[in-house]
Amino acid sequence: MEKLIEILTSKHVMTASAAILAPVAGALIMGIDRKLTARMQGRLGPPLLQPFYDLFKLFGKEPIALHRPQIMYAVLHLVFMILVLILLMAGQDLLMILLVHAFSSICLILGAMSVRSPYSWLGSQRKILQILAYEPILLVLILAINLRDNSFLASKVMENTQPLLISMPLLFLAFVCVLAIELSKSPFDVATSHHAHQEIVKGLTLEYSGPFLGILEIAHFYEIAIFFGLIMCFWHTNIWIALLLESAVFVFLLVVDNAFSRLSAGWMVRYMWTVPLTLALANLIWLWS
Amino acid sequence: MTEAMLFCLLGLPLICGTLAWLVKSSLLRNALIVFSALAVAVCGVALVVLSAQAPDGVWSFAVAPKFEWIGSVLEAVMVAVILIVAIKIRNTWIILMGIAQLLMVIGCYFIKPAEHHELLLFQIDNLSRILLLVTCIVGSTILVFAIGYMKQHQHHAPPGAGSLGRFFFFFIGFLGFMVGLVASNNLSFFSFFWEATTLCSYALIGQDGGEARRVNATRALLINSFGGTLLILGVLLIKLQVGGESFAELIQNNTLTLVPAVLLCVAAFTKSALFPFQSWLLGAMVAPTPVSAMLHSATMVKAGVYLVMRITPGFYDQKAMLLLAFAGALTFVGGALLACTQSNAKKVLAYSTISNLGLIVACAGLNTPLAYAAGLAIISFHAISKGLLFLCVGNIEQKIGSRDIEVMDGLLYKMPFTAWVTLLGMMSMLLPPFGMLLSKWLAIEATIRSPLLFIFMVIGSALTVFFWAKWIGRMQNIGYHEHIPREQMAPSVRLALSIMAFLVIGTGVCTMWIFVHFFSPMAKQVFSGHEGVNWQTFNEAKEFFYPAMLIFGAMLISMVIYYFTFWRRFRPSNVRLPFLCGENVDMDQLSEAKDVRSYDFHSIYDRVEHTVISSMYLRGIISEEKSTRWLNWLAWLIIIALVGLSIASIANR
Repeated sequence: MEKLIEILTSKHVMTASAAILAPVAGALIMGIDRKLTARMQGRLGPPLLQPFYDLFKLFGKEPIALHRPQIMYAVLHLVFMILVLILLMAGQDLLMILLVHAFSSICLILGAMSVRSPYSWLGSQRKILQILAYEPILLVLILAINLRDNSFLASKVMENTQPLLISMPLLFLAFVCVLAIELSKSPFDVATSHHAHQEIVKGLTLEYSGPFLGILEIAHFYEIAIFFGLIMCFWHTNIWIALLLESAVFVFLLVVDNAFSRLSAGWMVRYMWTVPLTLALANLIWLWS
Repeated sequence: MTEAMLFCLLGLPLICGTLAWLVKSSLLRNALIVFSALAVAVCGVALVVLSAQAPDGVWSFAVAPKFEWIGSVLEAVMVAVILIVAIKIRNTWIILMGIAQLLMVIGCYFIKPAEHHELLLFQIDNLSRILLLVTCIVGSTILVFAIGYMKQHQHHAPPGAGSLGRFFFFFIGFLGFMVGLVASNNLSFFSFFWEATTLCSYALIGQDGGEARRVNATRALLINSFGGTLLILGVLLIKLQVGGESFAELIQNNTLTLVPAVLLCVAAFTKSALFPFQSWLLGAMVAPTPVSAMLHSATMVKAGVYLVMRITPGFYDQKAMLLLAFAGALTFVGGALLACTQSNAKKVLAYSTISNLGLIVACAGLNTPLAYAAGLAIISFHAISKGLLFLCVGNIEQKIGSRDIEVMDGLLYKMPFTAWVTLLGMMSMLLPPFGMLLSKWLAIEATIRSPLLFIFMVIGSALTVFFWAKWIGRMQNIGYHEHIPREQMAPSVRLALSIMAFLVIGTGVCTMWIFVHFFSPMAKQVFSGHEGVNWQTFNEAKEFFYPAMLIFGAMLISMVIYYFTFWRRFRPSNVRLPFLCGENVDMDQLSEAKDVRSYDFHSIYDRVEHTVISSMYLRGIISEEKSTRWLNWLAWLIIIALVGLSIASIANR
């Protein structure tokens, strides 16, 4: 019995189960998201498991695409998103994880740029701007973690008994903005959006349909799970406080999403490089001294 | 045996070049070029292997001290040749600098050196070996490419262009001079080869004749003469102060004093086209493409960073090192930023080269083992990828008659081989598992102790991703084609591209292995005697082997999944046109009219409207001219501070 528990809690099994459970968690979070958004708008909203139903339906559809390479990029996007999760679980180097994540996003962009579709092209250009907008903040966050724990390894963060939030509250605020971009919430949902029509239709993912769109959806579930997991890492010492923090961020993002309309990509870069980046740098400077 | 190889490498290019100039038959000339390319590659590899057998891995070639005059005479002759060229083109500044150089060379000769038993003319250690490999392998591949390219080029060459013989004389000779430069240990020999590469680049940039070439060639000569003057001044000061005249002595005895060291560094900046000296390298793109490839990857600009990496481990002033790192980091960011604003493919490549050279100098300035290893890695990986990219752009330009990135869409159909190879080259600049990404990330890890530099690195890397992603996206933009026709191209061009692509893939697959087994021990050896070195990050970096393998595995897994689940099941009947609100042109129109693309659409009366989609070039946000002015100002500031610091260090003594 003890042996069984030991096996179950071993690093590899934990990593594997996280890799399997993460998309489920991501889909559930998305389900709650839809439900809450609907209630805020005075609608009843879809059932909680709607993301799963959508996904199954997508995989049952006829595989339609514009050409073959497009599909390759979708697969690469998904596999590398899973790799991000695995590397995080294995406590690997944070800089490397960030680069793998960036690579995953670049695959999404290249997939959208490989087809001759104006809308998808526009969406991909905006996605590049999104990366340009949030990447510096994530890097500053990693630098700050290195200053505190003297290592780039993710496992070292977990070993420290002081929660991250206490030493980097301003960086946390900046990170919430990054989260809003990653989850494509207004006012940052310039490249693609969950809401109804925008001026570039569905933007980045426009030319994907059927099972290929399903692959992108799964990758998005992973991404949601990863980023919400990272939020919990800001208070890793107590699971209840972590959950509380997470729900607070979640509700905050939803309120902002519903209160704002989408703004332009240029505005987004200017905003991210001024307010959140300044916050992040201020936090970095005080950690430094 | 080793000596024989070295002298083969020095002499053969000159002899073959001269013969290539003299012979009239193009068949004979091509045979000569192929022979010299093969000879350079074989001798280069042999020299590297043989010299590595020497004790401690450092091979040297010594002669009796009475032969010292040879170096000075050679140097004086080369300076005199440049002076004659300067008088011929009537450029006052170059003439003045030439005269100053000549006087200093003569002055140098009359300074009595310290007592020696023997004179170490050449010395080949790890750093030289890396540069040798780069020069000999990449350089000779470019040589092979030039055969096919220049034949085509000469058909369309403007009147007044130099002959093919003249071109190949300087082109092959360049390789020999570069080998001499990285192998020489004696400072007067080094200066001779330095000036020789300057002269070669002047001649090659001016190859096609005409006003634009003349202006740019003169600018290259002017800036590099400035660098040469600083170099010779530095050598003179070194001789005055310590009487030594070889790198080995300077670095082993830690006698490298700050003023000459800084002068040598600034000289290296001019050669490596760091800000504010970047204009000559940008102007150099008027030359035929093989020249650009040669200047950017195998020779010339690598000479500058070689000099920096050669002397920085002997630098002991922390402030000066930090300034050096800032000069590099500024160029890294500036180059990447300006590359984002360009749609001219060659200019993007040029700015990207400048940016990477800045990164190498920043690595050298950080002066930690990890940064040093990263610098070595960037030198080698960058040479291969950038050489490949220039060759590809040259080939594309010859076919489609434009070097505008926005015109390059659909190339995967029109010239599939070149397009695939170009994509490979671009991906090797920024994506895993290729070496550039690894080195960039090591460089970032190495900057951790100086946050300001870290921010520079971060912004630079983000911008790098921006401009490469735009270009890759444009290159691979294509409609659906069931069958893609085979591309017609000259055999030498295809051969050269294949070799380079093979090198890129090979080094990409073995990146981690190469790093762990070569670059990291080299860095360890260089820094082993130093005190206060930060070994922690260096040792942690070796742990990357496991995650790097994971990345590689993930790549393979996704390819396998993709092939078995999607590629094989995909049918032409699954293909649709892009979404254009239902107003697409139809498939028939697409196959009938040539100028209709799948994203064109119907407007009123079924008229076909052409869609034009452009990438983002930050126009109206960042202007090249204004940014260059600011960046140059900042770069001058750093250089002046560096020189001032070094002079102040004398006063403090």
